[in-house]
Amino acid sequence: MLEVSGLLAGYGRITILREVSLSVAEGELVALVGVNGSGKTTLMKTIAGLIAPGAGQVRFEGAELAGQGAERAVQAGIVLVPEGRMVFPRMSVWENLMLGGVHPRPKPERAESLERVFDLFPRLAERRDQKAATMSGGEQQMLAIGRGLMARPKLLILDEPSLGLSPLMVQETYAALRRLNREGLTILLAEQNVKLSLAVSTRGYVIENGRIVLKGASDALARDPATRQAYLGHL
Amino acid sequence: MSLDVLLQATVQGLQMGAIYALIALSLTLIFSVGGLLNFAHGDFLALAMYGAFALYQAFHMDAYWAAPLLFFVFFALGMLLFRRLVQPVLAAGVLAGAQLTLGLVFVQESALLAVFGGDYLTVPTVLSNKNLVLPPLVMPWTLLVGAALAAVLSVTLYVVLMRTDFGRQVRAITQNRDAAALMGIRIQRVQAIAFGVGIGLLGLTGPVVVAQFTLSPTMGLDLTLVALIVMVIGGIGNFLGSMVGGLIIGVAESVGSLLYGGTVGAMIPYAILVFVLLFRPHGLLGEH
Repeated sequence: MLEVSGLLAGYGRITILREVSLSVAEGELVALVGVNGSGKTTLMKTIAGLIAPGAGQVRFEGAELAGQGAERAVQAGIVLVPEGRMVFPRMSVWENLMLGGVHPRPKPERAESLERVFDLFPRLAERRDQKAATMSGGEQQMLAIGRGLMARPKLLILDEPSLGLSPLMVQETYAALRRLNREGLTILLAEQNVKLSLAVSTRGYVIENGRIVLKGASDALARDPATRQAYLGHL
Repeated sequence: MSLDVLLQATVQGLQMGAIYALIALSLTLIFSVGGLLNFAHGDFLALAMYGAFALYQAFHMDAYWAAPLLFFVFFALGMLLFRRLVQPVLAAGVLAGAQLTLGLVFVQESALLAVFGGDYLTVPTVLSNKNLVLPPLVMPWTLLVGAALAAVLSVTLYVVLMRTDFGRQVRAITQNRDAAALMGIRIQRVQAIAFGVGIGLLGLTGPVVVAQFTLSPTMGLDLTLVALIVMVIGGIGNFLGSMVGGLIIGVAESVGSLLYGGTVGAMIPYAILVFVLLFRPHGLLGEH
């Protein structure tokens, strides 16, 4: 479904990603793990069209998307739930969700999408008229994911969804992701929380200094001594 | 001083206030487009008034007929200016954008001076010199109609911004540009339309309120100042604040002039500005 190859990208003259290749097949839940500053966010933003890569390809269902912009990515069905949630602070939950589905492709099914989001996160339905800025971090994360789902993604990309959340909220967020994947949604998950993300995913990539250094089945990666030493803190 | 005179001044102030509110609202709309402070705002309004004058001179077209025509002309002008000038300059930073609009002030004022000369001009309309008498109030029809149209347009614009997908997209871009891009919102297109509507509204407002003003090439600066004061008092970027601020300044100016004379009355908006900033630095309805 998603085929990234030989990607070189960064900000201005600073190159962050060097020759990154990665693929996601339909129905998969793939994890991209790495420490802070390893290039996860840059990679996610490049796939979502926010950054134009210097070289390389981002192919999605056969179409080349690299450097085509975020609108084109949403049109194709790639939706990014960004790091730090980025909800619209002075708008209500309902307004945030409406904006998630404002693109012409998902817009005709907006009412139905809204029902599905409220079914997945009943708390958002309860807080429908509350301003996003006044909600807890966990609720904002739900809103950010819900807003992403309103765009009817074929591939949902999440950047650090567990960042800054209480353990209970992390559990809840991951339960929702597991459910979405079980229902058929393809997910690419970038995380610092290696243990958790490898536990929910089927395959994983380890990124370090802008390069993919390890890849494979998630359970194998979790057992791999190199990963364990570098990311799980024990041998 | 009788209560009747005070009432008259208050009503007249509310009517001017509605006009100020609309001017400030379009300034706020343009500000919401990438934080651009349009110092040429009043000059665009002056240009629209001169447009009404020119149409009257050339075709005897009444200002109220010129208004819808100038709306479309100014809307197109706004879109064109945004695409060709504002967008490329704004990419270099908000300060460059401010310099650009300052430059537009000089361009427009010089152009008006060159084309129309420096004499004071007035534009007669079908409603000129007619009053609505509702004892104890006497209201000039031109002001009444101008205020009513301004109020209707302000409320319409407010509802569009708060309740429609277009308005939500404009606000989303203001609140988080990257997140808006991730929704697939075509940012530059929405911004161009918002800018076009902001300038277009001035094209509509100019002829409608032209009877209230004596035209001179440099009148734009005063109008910009009033709009800026109103916007800052209401809270920069807050649409409701601009409407409330407009009414406050309109009434304060009118009642102030009545009570203390024209010189002091003209100072009152500035006094209110200082006062509001002392106690509410983000404006009456500003959020931070």
